[in-house]
Amino acid sequence: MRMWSVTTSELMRFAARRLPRGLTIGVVVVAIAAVVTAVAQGTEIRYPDALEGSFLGAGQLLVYVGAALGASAIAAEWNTGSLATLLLFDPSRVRVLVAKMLAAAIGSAAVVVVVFVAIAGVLAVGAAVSGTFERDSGVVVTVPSDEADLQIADEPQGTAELLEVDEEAPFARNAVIYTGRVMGAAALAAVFGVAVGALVRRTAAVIGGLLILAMFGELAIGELLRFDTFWGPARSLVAVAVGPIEFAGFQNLQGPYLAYAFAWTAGAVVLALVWFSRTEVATGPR
Amino acid sequence: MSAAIEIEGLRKVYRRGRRQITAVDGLDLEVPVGGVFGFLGPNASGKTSTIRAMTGILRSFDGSIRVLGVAAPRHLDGVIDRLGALVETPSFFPAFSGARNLALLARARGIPRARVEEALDAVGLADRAGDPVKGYSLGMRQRLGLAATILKDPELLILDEPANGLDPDGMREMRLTLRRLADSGRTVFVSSHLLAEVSQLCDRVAVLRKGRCVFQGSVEELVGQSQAVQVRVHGDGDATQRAAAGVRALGHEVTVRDDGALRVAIPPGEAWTLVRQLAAHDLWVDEIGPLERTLEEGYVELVHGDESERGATW
Repeated sequence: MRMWSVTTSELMRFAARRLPRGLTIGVVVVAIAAVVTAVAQGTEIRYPDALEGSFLGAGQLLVYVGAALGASAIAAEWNTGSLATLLLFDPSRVRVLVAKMLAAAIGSAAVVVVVFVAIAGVLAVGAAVSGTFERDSGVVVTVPSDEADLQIADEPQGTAELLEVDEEAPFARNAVIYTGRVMGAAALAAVFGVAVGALVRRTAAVIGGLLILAMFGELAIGELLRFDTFWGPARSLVAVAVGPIEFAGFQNLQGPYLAYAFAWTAGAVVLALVWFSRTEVATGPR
Repeated sequence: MSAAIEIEGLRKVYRRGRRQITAVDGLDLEVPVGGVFGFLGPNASGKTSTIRAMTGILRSFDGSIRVLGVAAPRHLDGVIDRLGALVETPSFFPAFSGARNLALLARARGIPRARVEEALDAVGLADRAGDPVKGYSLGMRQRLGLAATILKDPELLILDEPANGLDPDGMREMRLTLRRLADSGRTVFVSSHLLAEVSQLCDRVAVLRKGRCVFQGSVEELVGQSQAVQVRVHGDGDATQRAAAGVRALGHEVTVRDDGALRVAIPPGEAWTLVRQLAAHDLWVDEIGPLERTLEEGYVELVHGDESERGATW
C-alpha cells in the first residue's frame, strides 16, 4: 500500500516534469516537420514503409530517452536537494528508489506509446494527403553481415547475419509487437538509468557514458575480442527493442543480448539499492 | 515515553580526503515531550549534523538516537507519520508550484489533498500556492518548508533554523505558529542562533559547543547562572575607580559600566566579603545584588568561555 502511494507520487512527479514532455513534443514536432516537408516536395508517402522506418529509428532513440528520463528522475533531485525533503517524508530508501524505478519504467513506456501513436497519426495524414497505404513490394531479404546496419553474432566467433522478411505477416500486428518491445526496452533502460543515476548523481554522465559505450566501447571491445558486439548495456538495451522480430524488412538479430540487458540492469539495481541505503544524502559537515 | 528525543554519545566524523572533521563529539541530549526545545550553538557547532542524524538523512554515526521511542534511523519509518522535520533550507522542485510540491509529498504518505490547502493557509502562503517555487523568496521557501512539516499533523517537529531568511513579520508569525503548535501538546525542537527568538519562544534549551552539549536546562536556568554581582559605591567617579582598583587587587575581574556600576565576577553568595573589603577602605556600598544576565551573556559565556579555544574549529 505504502509502496503504491510512493510510486503514484513518483508517477505524478514524472508526468509533471518538463523533460518527458519536452522530449515527447520534440519527437512529434520532428515527425510533423518531416511529413510536411515530404508532402510539400510532392514525395509519395508509402504508409507501411514510412511507418516501419520511423518506428525503427524512433525506437532506438526512445531506449536512450528512457535511460535519460530514468537518470534525471533521481539525479535532478540530488541536484535540487529535494531528495532530502522526500526522505524526510519516507525514510525507507529502498522503497523510495524502487518507486522511482517503477515510475520511470511506466513513464518511459508511456512516452513510447505517445510518440508511436503520434508518428502513426502524422504519417497517416501524410499518406492520405500525398501517398498510399499500400506496401512496397521491393524489400531486401538477405544481406551479408558486414553490410548490415545492426548485427549480432550467433556464435562468439561468428559474423554471419540473416535478414528475414515475412511478407505474409500482418503489418498491424507486427507494429503492435514492435511497439511493445520498444516499451519494454525503454522501461528496462529507465530502470537502468535510475540505478546508475543514483550512483553517479548526474543525468549527463549517464547519457554521455551510454552513448560513448554504444559508439566506441562496446563495439570496439566486441570486435577486438571477436565477441558479441551487443555485450554491453548501451547496445544490448537497444537490441531488446530491435531484436528478432517479424517486422517486415528488419534484421533478425540473434544472440544473448536479452540476458546481457537484464544482467546489466539487475547488477546496477542491486548496486544502487545497497549504496543508496547507506549513503549520506547531505554532504558537508554542519 | 518520557522523552521525545534521546541521544547518547552521538559522534559524527566527516572525512575529506585525509582530513577528518569531527562535527559532533559525544553528544548527550534529552528532549522532553511537549513545549519548545531550543537547540543553540554557533555556526559549525554540530547542530545540523545532529538533526540530520535524528531524521535519517545521515546514516553512519556512532552513538544512539531514539526519536519518539524508536531507534533512528533504523526504525524511523515506524514513526515518520508522527514526525515533521525541516532540515537546512528546504528544497523543492523549482518548476513546480508550492501546492504541487506539497501535493506530491502528501501523496507519498497518503495524506488527504485538503491538508495541503490547510498547511499552506497556516503558514500564510495560500495566495501564492499556485506560483512556481523558483519565484519564491528565501522566506517563502522557509514557510513552504514549514507547511510541508505540518502537513502530517505531527506530534514532534524538528526544525533546523526555521527563521532563516524571514523578515521581522515573518519571524513573528513563525514564532506564533510554533508556540501555537507547542501549546496544542506537540513537541517542537528548533535549532537556532537567534537568541532573541529563542528567549521569546523556548521553554528549555541545550547549548552546543564544538559538537558537545555544554548546557541543558530551562531558559531561566541559563539566564540565572550568572556568577557576578553588580555593585554601586557611595560617592563620585573617583570612588568608583578606587573601588574597581581595590576589587581588582583582591583578584576579582571587574568591569566599570557606563552607568557607574561595577560588574564584579564573584558568586553572589560570597558578595558579603566584597562589602567588608570595600568598607575596610572607606568605600561604602550603596547597592549590591546578583547581576541579571541576559540570554546572550549566558550563551556567550558558555560558547566562548575558554578564550584560548576561541576561533578553533571543531
